[in-house]
Amino acid sequence: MLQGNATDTQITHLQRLWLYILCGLILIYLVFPIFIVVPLSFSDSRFMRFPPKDWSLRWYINFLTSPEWRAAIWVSLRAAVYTTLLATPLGVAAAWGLARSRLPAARALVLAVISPLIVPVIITAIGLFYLYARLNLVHTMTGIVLAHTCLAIPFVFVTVSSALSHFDIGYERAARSLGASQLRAFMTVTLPQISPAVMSGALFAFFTSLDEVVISSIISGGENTTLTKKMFSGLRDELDPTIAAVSSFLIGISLVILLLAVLMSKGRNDD
Amino acid sequence: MNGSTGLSISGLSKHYGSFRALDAIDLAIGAGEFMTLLGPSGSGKTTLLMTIAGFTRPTKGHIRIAGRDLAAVPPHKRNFGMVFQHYSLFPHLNVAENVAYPLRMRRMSRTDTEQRVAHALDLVQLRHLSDQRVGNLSGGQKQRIALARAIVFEPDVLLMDEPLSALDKNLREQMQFEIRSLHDRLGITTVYVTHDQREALTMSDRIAVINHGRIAQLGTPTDLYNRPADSFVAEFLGESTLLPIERSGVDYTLSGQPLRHDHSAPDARYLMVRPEKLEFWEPGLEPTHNRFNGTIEQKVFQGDSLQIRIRLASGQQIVMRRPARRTVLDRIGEGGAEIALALHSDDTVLVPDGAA
Ligand SMILES: Nc1ncnc2c1ncn2[C@@H]1O[C@H](COP(=O)(O)OP(=O)(O)O)[C@@H](O)[C@H]1O
Ligand SMILES: [Mg+2]
Repeated sequence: MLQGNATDTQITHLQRLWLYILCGLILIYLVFPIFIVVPLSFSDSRFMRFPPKDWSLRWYINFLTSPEWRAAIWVSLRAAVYTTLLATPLGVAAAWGLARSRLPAARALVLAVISPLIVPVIITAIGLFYLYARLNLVHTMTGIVLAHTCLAIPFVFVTVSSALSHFDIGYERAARSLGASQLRAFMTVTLPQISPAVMSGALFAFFTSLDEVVISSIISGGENTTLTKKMFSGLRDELDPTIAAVSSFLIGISLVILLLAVLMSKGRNDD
Repeated sequence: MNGSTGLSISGLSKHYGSFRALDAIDLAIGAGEFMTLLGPSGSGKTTLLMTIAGFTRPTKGHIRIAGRDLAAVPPHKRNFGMVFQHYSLFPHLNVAENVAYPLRMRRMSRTDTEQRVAHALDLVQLRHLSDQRVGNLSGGQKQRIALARAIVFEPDVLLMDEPLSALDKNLREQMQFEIRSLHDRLGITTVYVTHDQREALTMSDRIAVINHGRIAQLGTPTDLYNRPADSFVAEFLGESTLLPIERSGVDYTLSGQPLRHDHSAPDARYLMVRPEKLEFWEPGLEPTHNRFNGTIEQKVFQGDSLQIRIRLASGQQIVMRRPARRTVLDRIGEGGAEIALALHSDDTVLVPDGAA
């Protein structure tokens, strides 16, 4: 197979070998941190030493029985869910509105919507901190969710806009001629057809919030300390493998959610 | 569905910048009438239909139904059924759900919905496909379902934009017949857009020929075919040869030969000759016919008929069409043979110049 016959214009697998190797290296590079972090979290040692000598679950037990860590998990999950629930409809609405808009300013508005992707997060974070200080939103769930929603909307907006750009406007026209208002036409005809894009947008929103460090470090705190903030300060103060256990836990959650999403979209395509 | 309403359009214009896609259109469509908008691509047919449907806002003018101005009525409240070239069936719904969609939007009860959907699918003879996904249907089936969906809610007007242009020729001809007979059974006021003149002639009660955003002529298929208002309509509808004519006093001449004609238009510039109206000259046709002499240049066999190109003595070319019958074949000589043609004064149509 590696050297199988090839015509003049075909390239053999052997000639392509360097591509396969490069590809493999890139994949390893991408998942490499997981191969370090996950084994570390099962270490028996008090120090982050790789590779671990003995194995145990003590850091998971430590993490899951600590009230502080548990509170942080809860804060992060709630923030991620609220952010998803807020950013998804807003991002979808913005994408639809701008896709259907005949305003000359529509392009400029697109830039405004995706600006949180462009502006460095640290700038957004500092700006929000001063704003929140005046509004008494520092260290509140509302503050975290609003800030994360800002960051998440562009992801929903971009995925949904791309789906809408391939979507034939004729369907909405047909629906409207058949008695649906513009909004109803969108809800009953467009939305069901672009739902995979909306789903991926929602997933992006969820992970944007769950993984977010910079803004969380600055505006979360007190009883509303997110997991990422607590991990970050943990790295400074008490460098033990609990952090590795928390990281592995986050990786686990992400994998489960991604798997569920894949299974759900499979189920939809099969019927 | 009988007793549906007529539609009246007055002074309707649509400008895009300085370009006039529609230019002061006046058109009254009678209740239950099958009106076709016919014109070349880019003439403004779709713009006119979309303006009637409410998707395009006119720059000027009014559309009224039963005396009520539609300006402030959004598309979904106009109660007009629409069929598009590309079907626009909803791929996430099956056939019955597609047809039920307009009833769902009107919050009709379930039993009524089922009954109406079944009836509409019966009308297009596709009831057996109720549970099919629309992706599995053929083009003709899709267009029939789209038609069922557009009539199931008993719309006041049915609007169709080149609904058959994506289908192949045989299917198209069959569907023309089906749509027309459905129209006759339901008596629904219909506005039908096409660029296919034969389709327009086959289906319509009246045809509005559109050119550059204006109505070039409005009339029955027979009117338009036999009495085109100008050279544009004459060329666009059916086969014709246009020969430049001169004016001498009150009469018109073709290369000096006076023309006998029953209908004269002011400012006529061309003699329009339909190929099938030309006959072989016989003695005795003198009082009623014009005579043209020429030589046969080319004979083209077209199955059912014979197309004969003739060079007139004046140098102009003219086309004649005769059924490919033995008697005809026998009378026509080879290329280069002399021939005398006759054209009845009633078929001698003189038309002014129409902006092409
Ligand atoms: N939104 C628009 N902006 C500018 N020009 C348009 C627009 N829509 C249509 N036109 C122009 O109006 C003319 C008529 O178009 P249309 O009604 O689609 O023609 P038809 O359906 O007869 O082929 C065309 O020249 C087209 O380019
Ligand atoms: Mg068109």
